[in-house]
Amino acid sequence: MLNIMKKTFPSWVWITYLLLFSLSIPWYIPEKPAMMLILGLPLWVIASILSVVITAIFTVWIINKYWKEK
Amino acid sequence: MSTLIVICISLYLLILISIGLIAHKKRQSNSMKDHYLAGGSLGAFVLLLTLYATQYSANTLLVTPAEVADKGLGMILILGYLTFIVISYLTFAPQLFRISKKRNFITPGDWFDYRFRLPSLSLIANFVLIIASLNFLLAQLMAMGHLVNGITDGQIPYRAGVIFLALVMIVYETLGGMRAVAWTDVAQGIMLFIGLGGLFFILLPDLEGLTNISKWLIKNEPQKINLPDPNFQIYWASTVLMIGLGAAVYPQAIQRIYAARSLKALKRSMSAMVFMPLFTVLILFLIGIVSIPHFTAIEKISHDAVLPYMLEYWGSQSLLGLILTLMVIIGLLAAIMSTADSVLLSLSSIISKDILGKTILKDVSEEQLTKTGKILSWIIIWVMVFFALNPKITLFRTIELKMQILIQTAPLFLLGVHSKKVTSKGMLIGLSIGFAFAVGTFFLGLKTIAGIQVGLIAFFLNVLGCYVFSYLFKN
Repeated sequence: MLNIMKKTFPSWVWITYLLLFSLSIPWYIPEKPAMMLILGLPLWVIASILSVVITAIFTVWIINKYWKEK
Repeated sequence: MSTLIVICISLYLLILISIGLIAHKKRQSNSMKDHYLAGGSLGAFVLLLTLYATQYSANTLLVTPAEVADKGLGMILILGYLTFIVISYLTFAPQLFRISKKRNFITPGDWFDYRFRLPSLSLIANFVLIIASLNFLLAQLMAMGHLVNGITDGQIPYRAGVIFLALVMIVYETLGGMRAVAWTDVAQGIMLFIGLGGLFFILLPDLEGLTNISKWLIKNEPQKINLPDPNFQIYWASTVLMIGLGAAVYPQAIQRIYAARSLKALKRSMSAMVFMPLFTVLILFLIGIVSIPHFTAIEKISHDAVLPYMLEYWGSQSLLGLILTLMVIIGLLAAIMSTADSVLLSLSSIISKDILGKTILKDVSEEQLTKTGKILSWIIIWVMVFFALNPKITLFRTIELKMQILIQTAPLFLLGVHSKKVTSKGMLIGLSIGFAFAVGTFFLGLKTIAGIQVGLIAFFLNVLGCYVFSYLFKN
């Protein structure tokens, strides 16, 4: 049982995910710049999409770096 | 156009039955592992597309444009929760994959038995999974009916659509089990991907049009485009967490971890899966935005019909639009059917192996249990068809009801693989608290408390109860 519980990813990975999750919700963007249109969409939407893109790239990287055959 | 769609649908259904027949011939044995996990032989490509097709269901494909058109751009949160599902997998998939290969797991219940060794806990957890899955299956059946009715301009009525598609689905699933389900997923995944990608390119050059729609929204319907207020942001965060955690523990998703041929296959499919929300939801999100001005002119259209309506509109604009639209339509139908068949397959495996196989069919052979599972599939599908013919709730509400319950089984995987302090009795009491809270609040008509999804609150109470009672029982 103890063997299967062995950690695959280090703790900082989950902290990074938490940070990326908080960035995907636009609580930190002031109202006026948030409504600036970029590529036809408001900045707050673009910021949310961008954080998801970074999350996806980060995920691929950690899968390949830390998830090994034990 | 609707006659052309009926012909394409008929051809597609014939292909499905053929795949079922081929999968039937390719089966290695009549064992449960062969029928329910394709013998644990799925490579990265098939695994990716079967995960994709299973996860991207009616809920995602029809609800995304509808919710964007109805509630506005804040529904970009759907992109967040679909990405979060893959991250949730990463919290337990490495450990679960390892042990599932060593112990030949077939159902989620095998993990519960191995980790907790408490029959009552396994029984309640399986009961929760069954309730949530039945609900999910119902949503898919309803979506099938709505979709064929919408895209054929009523030529195929809702009731006929539900009954006939359910019949095709149960036939190929009975014939080929997981192999048929996974192979049909590959075909539909590719079609959906190309179709949606094509639509994206039709939409993409029109950046000026998108800017104009945004400006129109700012002027005419600012509530749909303005920066969401703090209350909505709380709802956003809690929805991403609830569906992200809940959807990762779908029985059919867990069984796909077991069905992976190797760690390499699982890692590759997960790596690609994390990009699927961007390629899928983003396009559906744009379709939702573009459809808003259309729906201002047309009053009283069912929101579940936003996507079929827009597809018909684009299909009538050009030949390329028509071809892509046809591909998306068939892809959509296949996505719904492939989700439904996966849920059905999981349900029959849980009920036959974990419920009947441990009680009244304790002493029967594995071959007999597989046969019982197939019969069960037929019973389940027709009972659910009966309910689908009497729809009472809208699709999105259905998703939330399912997730409130499903997320309560997440600690069995998350804490099960990570926490040594958690005891079986603690887990049982935690699960009971979470489930009772989720169901109680649903019957009280409560969706959120202080903007937070009640399912997520129930989950936290579940985890808290689990730790507190694990500590008490330990002492």
